[in-house]
Amino acid sequence: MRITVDHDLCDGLGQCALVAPEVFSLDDDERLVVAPDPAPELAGRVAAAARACPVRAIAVEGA
Amino acid sequence: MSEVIDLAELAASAGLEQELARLAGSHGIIRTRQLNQQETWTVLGAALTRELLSDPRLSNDVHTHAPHGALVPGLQVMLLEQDDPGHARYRRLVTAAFASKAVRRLEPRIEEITRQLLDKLGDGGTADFIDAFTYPMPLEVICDLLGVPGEDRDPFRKWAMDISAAPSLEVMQASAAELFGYCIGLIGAKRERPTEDLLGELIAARFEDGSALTDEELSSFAAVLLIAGHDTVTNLLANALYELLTHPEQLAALRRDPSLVASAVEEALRFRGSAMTTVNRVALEDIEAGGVTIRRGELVRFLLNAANRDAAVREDGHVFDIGRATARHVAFGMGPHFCLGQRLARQEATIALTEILARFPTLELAVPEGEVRWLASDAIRGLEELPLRYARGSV
Repeated sequence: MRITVDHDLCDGLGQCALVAPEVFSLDDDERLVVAPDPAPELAGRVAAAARACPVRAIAVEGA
Repeated sequence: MSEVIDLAELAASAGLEQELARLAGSHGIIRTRQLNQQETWTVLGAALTRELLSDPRLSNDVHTHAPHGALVPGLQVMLLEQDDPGHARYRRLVTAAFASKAVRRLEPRIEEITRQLLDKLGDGGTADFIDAFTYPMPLEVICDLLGVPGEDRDPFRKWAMDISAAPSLEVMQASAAELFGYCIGLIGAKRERPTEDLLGELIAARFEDGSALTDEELSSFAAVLLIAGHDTVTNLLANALYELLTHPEQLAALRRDPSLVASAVEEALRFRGSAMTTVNRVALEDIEAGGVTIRRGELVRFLLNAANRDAAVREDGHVFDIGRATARHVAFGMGPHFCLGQRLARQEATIALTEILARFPTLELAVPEGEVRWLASDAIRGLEELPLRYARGSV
């Protein structure tokens, strides 16, 4: 599974981190941090997290 | 469960949130009746709220999927009543204006508006703070941002109140039509004489395929921002002041340590947020949720104030505590429709509370707590009036 984040669009709203906290988190500057190599069984959660992003800043391939 | 609850009736008391939490304890989802007498499902439980707010089987596009459920028939409201990918396409176009950097740039102007309004209150007296402050402050901010001329701002309070806390469907629809008519005229004027405000920028903005927003889309967007961007903040500010004044130990803690203000704003949002319910969603297929079956075509909305006090999430949900480490509320919703203006709302509330408390060491309710009247609305949680006694002299 390949996760890409468009940091120009991302505004640190944290909606993805609420849905899949194992994979997405915000650092102290509200910059989105994505865990490397999420376990395949998290694919559903990652897809839901991408869907929850209001500005569609997260793209997932191979989920 | 066969009871159908009229939220607007229930809302006319301060006890609404307790009653909802009681209902949430036995059912995460209930039947309610809304202004047009239509029955909807209303989600109360926190877990169910989080789950269903990002469930693609619930659509925001009530105009297409449940035309009977649209409160303002014939009018598709951009951003609020759209699903992805169309919704995300619009949202990307406007999101920069409400992003963290843009909102930080507004800070000096928000402070200036705040101080000017407080100057008008003088050194002491009694005033309805909704009239004198919590209504005009966010209205000035959103009108400045959009580029609404100062002389046009008078009718907005009536339109906003009629649309979000309407006494009847007819009143709501008449005011919505007047507001949209006004916005169409405003957009036309700005096309002829370009301006450097948000509406001016949106007129000039282009999607990735080179297309631009139509007059109808621009007007719909302007109207949504004017309504959503000000009466929610008006009531958030008033509710926050009311909670602080009726919880004197919390007010004292904030006065001792003004750095608690951001956390006080979060707690005010959680404890009694002003956007009490979301707009309607419609089920695109049968959905099993919270022990009921939501049938395809049925309307669903979310009672955010109930979810924020759900005992399953926090045992002390009815305690107002500005020192909570994490409020973790859903006062701005969740998922794709997460409130576009949440940073602006938080910024306005933080500045307003800071300035008001610094200016008036004496600030108290001018009527007994039990005499304040709550709006009988099923959408907006707020007070009819907030009469306060204030003085600049020391306590």
